[in-house]
Amino acid sequence: MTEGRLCEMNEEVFQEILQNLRSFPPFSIIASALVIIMVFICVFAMFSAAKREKRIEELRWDKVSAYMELIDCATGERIPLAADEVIIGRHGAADVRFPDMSISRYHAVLCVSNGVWRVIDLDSKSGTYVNGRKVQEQMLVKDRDEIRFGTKAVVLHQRGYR
Amino acid sequence: MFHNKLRYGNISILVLLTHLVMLAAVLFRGNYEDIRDIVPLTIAVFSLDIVYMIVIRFFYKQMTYTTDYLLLLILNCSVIFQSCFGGIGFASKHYITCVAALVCCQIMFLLTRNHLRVLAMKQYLYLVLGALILAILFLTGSRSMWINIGPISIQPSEFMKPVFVLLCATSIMEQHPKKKVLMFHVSREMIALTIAFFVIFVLQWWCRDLGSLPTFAAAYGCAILCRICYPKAKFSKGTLLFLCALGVCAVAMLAAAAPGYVQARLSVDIWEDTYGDGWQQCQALMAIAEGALFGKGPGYGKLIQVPAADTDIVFSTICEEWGFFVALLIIFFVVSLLILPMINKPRSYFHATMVMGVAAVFIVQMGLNIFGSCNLIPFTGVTIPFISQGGSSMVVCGMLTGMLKAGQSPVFRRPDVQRQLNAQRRKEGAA
Amino acid sequence: MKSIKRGERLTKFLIAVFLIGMCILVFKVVSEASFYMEHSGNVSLGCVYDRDGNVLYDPNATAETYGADYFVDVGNLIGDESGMMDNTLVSENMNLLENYDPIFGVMENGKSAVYTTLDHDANRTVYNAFGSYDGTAIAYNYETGEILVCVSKPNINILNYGDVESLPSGSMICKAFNPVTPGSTQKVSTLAAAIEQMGFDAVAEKRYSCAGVYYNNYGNQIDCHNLYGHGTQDIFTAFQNSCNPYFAQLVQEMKLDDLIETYKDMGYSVNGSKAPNLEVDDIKVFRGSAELEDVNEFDTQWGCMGQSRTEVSPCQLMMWQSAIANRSNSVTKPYLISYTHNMFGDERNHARTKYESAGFSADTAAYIREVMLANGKNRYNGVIGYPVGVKSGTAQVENGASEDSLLVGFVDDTAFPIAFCVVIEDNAAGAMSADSIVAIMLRAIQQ
Repeated sequence: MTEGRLCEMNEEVFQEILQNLRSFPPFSIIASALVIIMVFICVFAMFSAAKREKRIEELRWDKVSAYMELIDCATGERIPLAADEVIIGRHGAADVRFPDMSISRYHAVLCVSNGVWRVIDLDSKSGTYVNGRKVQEQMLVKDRDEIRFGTKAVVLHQRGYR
Repeated sequence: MFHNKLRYGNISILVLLTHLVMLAAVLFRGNYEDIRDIVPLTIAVFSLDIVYMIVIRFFYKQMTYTTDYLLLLILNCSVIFQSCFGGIGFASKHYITCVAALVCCQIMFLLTRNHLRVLAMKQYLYLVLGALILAILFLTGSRSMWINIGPISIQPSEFMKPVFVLLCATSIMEQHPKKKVLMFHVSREMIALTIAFFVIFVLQWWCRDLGSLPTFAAAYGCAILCRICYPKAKFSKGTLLFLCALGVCAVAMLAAAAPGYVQARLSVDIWEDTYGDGWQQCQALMAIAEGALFGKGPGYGKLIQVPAADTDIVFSTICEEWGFFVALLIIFFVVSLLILPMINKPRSYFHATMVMGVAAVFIVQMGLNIFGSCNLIPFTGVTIPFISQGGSSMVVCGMLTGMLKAGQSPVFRRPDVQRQLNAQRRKEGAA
Repeated sequence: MKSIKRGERLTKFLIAVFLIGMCILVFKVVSEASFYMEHSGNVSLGCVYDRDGNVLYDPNATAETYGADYFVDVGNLIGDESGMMDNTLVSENMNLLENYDPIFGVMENGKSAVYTTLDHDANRTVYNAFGSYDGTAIAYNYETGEILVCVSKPNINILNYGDVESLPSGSMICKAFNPVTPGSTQKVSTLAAAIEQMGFDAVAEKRYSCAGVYYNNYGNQIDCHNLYGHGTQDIFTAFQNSCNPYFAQLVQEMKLDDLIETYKDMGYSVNGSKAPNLEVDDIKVFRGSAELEDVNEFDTQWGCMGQSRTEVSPCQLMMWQSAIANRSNSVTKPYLISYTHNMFGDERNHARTKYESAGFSADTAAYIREVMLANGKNRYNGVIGYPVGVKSGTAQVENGASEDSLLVGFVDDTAFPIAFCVVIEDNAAGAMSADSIVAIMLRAIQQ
């Protein structure tokens, strides 16, 4: 028997198996279920990888934000800075909210780029001060600078390197 | 090792395995005469998988690779779906657009990951939008959305989507100086965005492409919603309610004043006219019922004979061949693509708005397509992201995915600040 | 940071709205799937078989494979998928024939099939026995409810409809399930009502005389078919003679309310009231209707003898015979579908014998049975060749222009429990006798 005929016979046998499989109803269930389960496993593996990426991303963010956080001078509370723009004010929509009447609704913005923080005054009524100097438009701030919004004072503080 | 020092070996294997399982399903359930019919599809899928995995391994430094893997998974599944319609073959056109989408994803990622750069180029965005509008007005045939260049047809209105999403994102990110117009404090950017939206609106209306309108409206609406709660927007709840009421009135008036063919679409009973206006939808619904939960088997579908079976009613086509459960995976794909930026949250308002805009575009398109083809809402000719065939829409979906990726892997660097910093240091050093 | 969260919340809201829409879609598709399938041209149908496995309906049938007249005796009973006829077995049970399953969808080479209780050979024999006459014949097993023969002439050839407009009227409906004027077979119902009302001892004692013509209390003339009169008769002889004056006098002595009550209990729609639905495997069957206003009045008396505006379906006439034959207060409900195969070839929908109230008591049934058996013994056993209880009838239709012959009855044999009803249309000359068709039918069924 030549090899070609052997192939042909194999194919015939294969076709026969396929025909039998297709007329077997649970086979379509198995095939669909396998595809669905495989996709689910795959996507959930990606979600778990995304969570790992998130941890790496947090480390990187620490670096981008120069490990900075705000400390409330009155209470000693630590306020994280988790975005590149942080709006400080009395309004409920402000990122960092101080319910203090001397603070405007949207008082100031803290921005970071290249690891450097700036404070931008948003035409607040009582003004923004960095180490006692009034902020005209914007000013760079660094570790242990005291920023005062109206009567509320906070300190930009660099955490220890992790 | 990838740039973020993580390993993606298991995900790579899982993606390959998923495609293998799908191809096995094609092998065992598919409609083909010769086993060699499956070979080109298999080779194409696996070669794209492996090549892309190797390319992103050495690609530009980024913090997230999951979006890339998910996009690869979706696109190759889409290639397998598209290749099986009405008989196993190889959807080479769809394959090429998928590759283009992957490339566009990377390009858009590089363009948008630094929001400061996008902001600096804001005026160019308006220019691009203007150019697209002019292209629609002058290059397309009368009242159509297509530009034909040789064998390729381009739909410029599709490309307005990423541009518009970027416009929305740039317009709400910063503290803008406000003016009081009538009773509202508005910024120049918001006015510009609103004008842009209305121009697009009028243009779409004129071109009778009402299917894309809700997409733009959703992106615009999301941006405005974010804006309303953003600094210095002092809308009271009463004003908001008034605005909502106004919006509802406007929609009602538009529906009443819509042209006849639109009204006919809004109130058509498809089963009254199964061979006329209701043809596609009736066939689509029948195909879903015929396919039932587990499908007839890849390639055994008959819906492919109906026009737009691989674009507008692609959900039903997949239902018929693969079954309802597998068709639901399409939704799972798109939703999980949108869940990734929720796990790995953006760090800036720009990226947050951009991701939201992309989500709005994807969800609205998918909703319009699936619910439209199943007669829950009026039928419009929009595509399902990634699954429907179509060059422009595929490329645009790739771009939007690039924007999603940028939201997860942003860059915060600003050249002028770097200079300022150096100057300050020098000063301090001198002092 | 809050704005970032806000964006995320908006995205989640959009996804939630979309998923709610998907739930609505899933619900809609699941609940309407069978409706979609009705419109689908891609689903193949299975065959309908008779009790011996002969094909009664094949979606791929051609004149070459089966012979041109193979289906002609069952055309308007079994029907086809073309939608030309409704209220046929195929059109009303399409879902059983479709190679479709809501979970597995459409199967190209499915094994869906419907196995009926019909006997195709007997059916064809009866159909041929009608010769040039039109009419209907239906017979079933009064113990189990299996319909064995159901013929309606003129019939239709589903392989070749020809010009539908020029078909004789009644071709496309099965007459056994549609109203006919019952004629004297109605006297069975009237007797049942009388016994229910007066008790059978009282009815047995009644003696009325017939002089060929009878003038009722209002002076209306009731003719007897025997112009010379039957003389004084009791119920047995009056029933055998089918004497109109006797029954007119019997009706006159009944109370109208009780008469209406019994008729309604038996399933009649009296004076426009709603009759309970009757279906044989989803084929709608007419029960009966009568107008009874005053027992002394001509129309009511004539209506109680199966003329006037009284109508009954042959199927319903046959069903009452089952209660009478069984001496029971319940009728055996007929059915056509014995069992079905789903598209995987598994047996489904096994028919079970069902009963419904006959509207008269078991004692009444037993008494009517005696009356009918006596009639059969004296007049019909020899012709039919089986011990039967029967009631014949002649119905004047089209304002007396035409006369239909009817015969209802049952075989009094526990080994061969058949109830039947035969109608021969336009048979005033009596050239074709209903009892000969019954004889042919019973022999054919027994073979």
